[in-house]
Amino acid sequence: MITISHLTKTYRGGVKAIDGVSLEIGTGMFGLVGPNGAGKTTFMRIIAGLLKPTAGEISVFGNNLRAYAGKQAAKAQLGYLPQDLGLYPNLNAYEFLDYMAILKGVTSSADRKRQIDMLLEQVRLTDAAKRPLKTYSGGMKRRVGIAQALLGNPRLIIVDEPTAGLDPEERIRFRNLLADAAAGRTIILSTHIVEDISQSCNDLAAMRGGKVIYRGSPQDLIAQARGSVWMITTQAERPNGGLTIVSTLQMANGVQYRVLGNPDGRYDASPVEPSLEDGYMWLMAQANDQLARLAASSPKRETA
Amino acid sequence: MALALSQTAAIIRYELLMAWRRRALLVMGGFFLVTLIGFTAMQPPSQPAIGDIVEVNASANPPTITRRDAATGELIVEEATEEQIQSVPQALRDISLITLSSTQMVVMLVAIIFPVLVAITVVVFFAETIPLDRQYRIRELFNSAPVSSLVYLGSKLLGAWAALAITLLFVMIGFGIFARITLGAFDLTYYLQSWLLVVLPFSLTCTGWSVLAASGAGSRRKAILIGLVLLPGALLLYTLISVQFWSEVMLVGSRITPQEPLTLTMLFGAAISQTAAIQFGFLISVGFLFLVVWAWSRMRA
Ligand SMILES: Nc1ncnc2c1ncn2[C@@H]1O[C@H](COP(=O)(O)OP(=O)(O)OP(=O)(O)O)[C@@H](O)[C@H]1O
Ligand SMILES: [Mg+2]
Repeated sequence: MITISHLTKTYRGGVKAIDGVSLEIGTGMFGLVGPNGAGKTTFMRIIAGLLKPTAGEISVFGNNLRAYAGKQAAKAQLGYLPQDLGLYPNLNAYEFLDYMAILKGVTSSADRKRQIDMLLEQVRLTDAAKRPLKTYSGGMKRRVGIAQALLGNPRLIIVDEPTAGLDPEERIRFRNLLADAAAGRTIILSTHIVEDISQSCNDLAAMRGGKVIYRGSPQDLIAQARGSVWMITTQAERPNGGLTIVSTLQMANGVQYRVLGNPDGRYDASPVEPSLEDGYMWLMAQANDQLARLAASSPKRETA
Repeated sequence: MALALSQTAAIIRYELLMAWRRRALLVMGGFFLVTLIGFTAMQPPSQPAIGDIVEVNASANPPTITRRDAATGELIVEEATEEQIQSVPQALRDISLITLSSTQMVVMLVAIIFPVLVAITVVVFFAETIPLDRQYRIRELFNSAPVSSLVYLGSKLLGAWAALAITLLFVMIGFGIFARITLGAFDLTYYLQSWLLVVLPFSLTCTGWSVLAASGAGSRRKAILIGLVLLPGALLLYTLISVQFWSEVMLVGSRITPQEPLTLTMLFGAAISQTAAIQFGFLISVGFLFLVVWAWSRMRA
């Protein structure tokens, strides 16, 4: 169990990346979504003990991250894949994983070999294992990063955009790999590919501007958008009037738009069943509206 | 504790492996060796002898002399006449002039010339040790593993020291072979002492300063700049030890008495041991710097 209360992080220079977040995260897969700059990476780095919060408390399996000893104890059970992953260019995948495994406390060499061989197989790098990492493609490097995060059987796995740069086949493979690993562990996963979450997480949080604006199951998020997703086929100009266009498809009889909102009588709109992506878009559109209303209602300062 | 030791061993092992793969050690060792050989080649060829006498063994019974045959260059040992013995000053009897001169040459090159190469090379070269982890964006992974700041910093320092020691060993052997071939037999004890007691501690100090002082730098480029800033300090340290060394060697003249023959111990013993003593003093400064950097990194963790 990970407990986060009143977490705030203000970077030097004044950017408030996390703004009073309180969350509890149990076992299983936990998805984290949100626009660029929402604070996902900051949040995950704080839970991983890599970044000191400005205020607030975090406890990871009962270890208080404010204390050095607590932090070290939490790290002994952590697997982490940074968003901006770096590898040693002159080592090969096997050596790199061996090195990381020792650092993570897998001190028995037989144990290490078994784990590394298995993980290399799982991320399908067995054939490339003896090549220097500098010769790897972006997706291959990502997969080394994923394997590295799973070393040493961690109880908490934090992966920051693990599927960025993976081809569809590898992405699905990775999703299944994580879902298998999720039994009895906590996995925190951030992504911009909403599909990743809808397929594997039963718990998610959406962040925006350093705040958690949604917390719940993907189904509930989808349910919130029900009745607000429409299909409009038109030969005229793009639909407007407070509608958010989710997708555009050129058809023989015109252009088909998938929109969010409440289309007026002008359009021949038919309701459709929302996907998780629609739910996410709906959530963000709501947040935008709220911000716009706030801005409009705040009194303008008079200039003398 | 067991984990800390395994982590330390792994960091040192992989540091060495990566340094080897970067060809870094090879380049540094090659540079050292080539420069030392160049210096040696620049020395005028010497055929140390008094007349044609290379050694007078006056205390042997009967006394012998070793002469170099003018025509063939061969060394000939024969019974010495009283006249021949008198032609060699007291202090230079019972010692091979060839060994004396070649030992003097190698010790001078190793203990006086070589450290300046080390000073200008290692402070810049080893500065990248820790910043390279940041440049490769690997620090994030280290920090997410249960590696304490003490283990991380200590292992990186030990890794750099191990890399340095291996390079020096290679240069010591390589130059030793070269000197034996070109200069002739020299006294191995003083050769080894010059390396172990003068060059090694000096290099460890410079490397330690460099690794630790640059540990906060975020990139290789900044690390090299910090190394360059350290350079005057390293050269000052070099000046101190070489002045110390020379002044001890110079004092030898005052120690020679008509009764006592000159020995290599008289020539280099004090110089090497005195220099080594202040060297180990300086090595302690690395220990202090380590504590400061460690406390700082612990505070930020
Ligand atoms: N080291 C830093 N110093 C100052 N500001 C930072 C730093 N890192 C991030 N920020 C700021 O904090 C906010 C949150 O950044 P963060 O990287 O956590 O977002 P994110 O949700 O991970 O975005 P993305 O989806 O693009 O990865 C952003 O406004 C960003 O500019
Ligand atoms: Mg991010």
